Amino acid sequence: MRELVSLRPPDSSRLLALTEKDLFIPMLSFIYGQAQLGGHVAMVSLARLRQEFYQMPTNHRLTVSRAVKECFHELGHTFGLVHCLIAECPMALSTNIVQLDRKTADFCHACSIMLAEAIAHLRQGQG
Amino acid sequence: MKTRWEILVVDDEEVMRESLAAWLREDGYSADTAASGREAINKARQKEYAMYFVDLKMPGGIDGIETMMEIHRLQPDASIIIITAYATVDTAITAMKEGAQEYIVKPCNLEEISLLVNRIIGVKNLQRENALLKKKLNRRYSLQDIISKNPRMQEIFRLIKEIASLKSTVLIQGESGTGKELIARAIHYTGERATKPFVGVSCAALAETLLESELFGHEKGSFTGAVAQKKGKFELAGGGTIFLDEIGDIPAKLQLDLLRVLQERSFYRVGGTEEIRVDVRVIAATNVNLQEAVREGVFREDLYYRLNVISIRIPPLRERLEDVPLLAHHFLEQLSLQLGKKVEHISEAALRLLMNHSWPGNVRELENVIERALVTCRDSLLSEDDFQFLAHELEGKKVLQESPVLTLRELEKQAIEVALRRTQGNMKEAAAVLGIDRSTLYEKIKKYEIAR
Repeated sequence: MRELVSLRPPDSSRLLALTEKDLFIPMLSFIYGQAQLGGHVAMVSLARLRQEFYQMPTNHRLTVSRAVKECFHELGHTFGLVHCLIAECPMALSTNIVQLDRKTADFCHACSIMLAEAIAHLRQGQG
Repeated sequence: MKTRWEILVVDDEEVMRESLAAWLREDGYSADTAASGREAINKARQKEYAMYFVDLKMPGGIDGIETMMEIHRLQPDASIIIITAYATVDTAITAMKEGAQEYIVKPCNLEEISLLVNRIIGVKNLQRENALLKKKLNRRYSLQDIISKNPRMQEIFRLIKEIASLKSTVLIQGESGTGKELIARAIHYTGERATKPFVGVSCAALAETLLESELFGHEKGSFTGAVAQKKGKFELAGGGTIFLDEIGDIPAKLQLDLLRVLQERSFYRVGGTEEIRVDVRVIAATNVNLQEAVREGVFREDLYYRLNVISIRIPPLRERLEDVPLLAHHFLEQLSLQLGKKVEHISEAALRLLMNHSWPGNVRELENVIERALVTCRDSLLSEDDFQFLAHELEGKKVLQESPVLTLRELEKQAIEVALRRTQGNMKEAAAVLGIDRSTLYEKIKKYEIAR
């Protein structure tokens, strides 16, 4: 994450990194992604989003859809959003692939409002 | 929306504590970190965290178990989770014995840690809600909830504190709506009987035979309709307090029965032969002048003296007008919340109007007036205009007051007749307009033989 922070071009607002590597943070056995809460950088691992990881046939469409939801989730964190209690919202916490698949790519009403506010602040040059 | 609970992560390895803290923040908690046991203890001294993650093996003199014990000493309600990479059954047992709520081995599964935190925070939310509700319940009946800066009322508050734990009978006298029941409850909940029942009976609301069975209970078959044995209020109040409201309206036969209970501390159920002994504190209240009732021969003198051991006389609101703004703001705060209105202030002019009112229905009338004004108020401020209905009533009353030939009885009768006419005989509304409760209104209609 520290390296990503140093890599972010100064004229960009957010830097999102994608990796094929399986990620973990020292306390936890694995994570799908990581972000700076209210910061500028985030990363998502594709390793556990692929069906092959679970000994299933390849399904690119599913991988992309999972990746989009995870990217929304981690980028959401960079805009200050925390985990949402609505299971279908991309900001919901997913601790396994079933929970991730239950999510949609549409932010719930409350998260949409918070995200819109954060983006408005960004446009005004405050974020 | 999650409550922002505070969590402290204690680990000597920076990457460990910072990564766990970062994840907890993403989950909506406010997470702080400490690099050693000593730092954690210092932080716990300054702030109360709901939950602590403490690494078991830490260098620098104080290990995880010692840190946990010290935090427990400072904050007995905090939940502590011990984390370690060296899982052995022994350390787990030691940690749990010393008060750790959970024990986790790193690296742990995201699902496991999420469930753990949610479970502990779920319990904490319930505990907090429970404590808040208990506080609210006690507050409702505590002395702090009776609002007054009037010296006579302050004197009553002092008296209540002194007599709360005594067993002596208390007689509370005051006009309708002055808060006699509130005072009775404050006595009960301030004293040693607070955890025992407080049972209230309105003596005016029931016919003689019903009241008798209500107070003393009855045996099965003692009268038509007595299909089973029933305990009376005196028995139900066992160990606690019985509050006999409107004691001045109690019929002659029951006055004698009550006198016996007060003397002997025992009674018989209606139709019963077994003597029942009770430990009950009696608090009686009345809005009629009992001394006068004794003189008129409608109330037993011996019962009056038995009841009047400790006497509390609540002044009417017109004699403590300095309380009107305080009470008005209190009711505004309470009622705007109940009615879901965002009205926060009362204008100076409106307060002056309220101070000029004579409040025949006392505090209850004031509460009703604020509620009525709030219902129609469209602003964030209660202004003079919102109390126009009061000004109209005042004008009506002035006409009455200017007539010198009326006695108080006649005046009261007229006021009730006017209120009934205006509300087309709607008892609930008429009682609200008069600032008295419905049972008092029924009683007065009966007393003055008013046609409805």
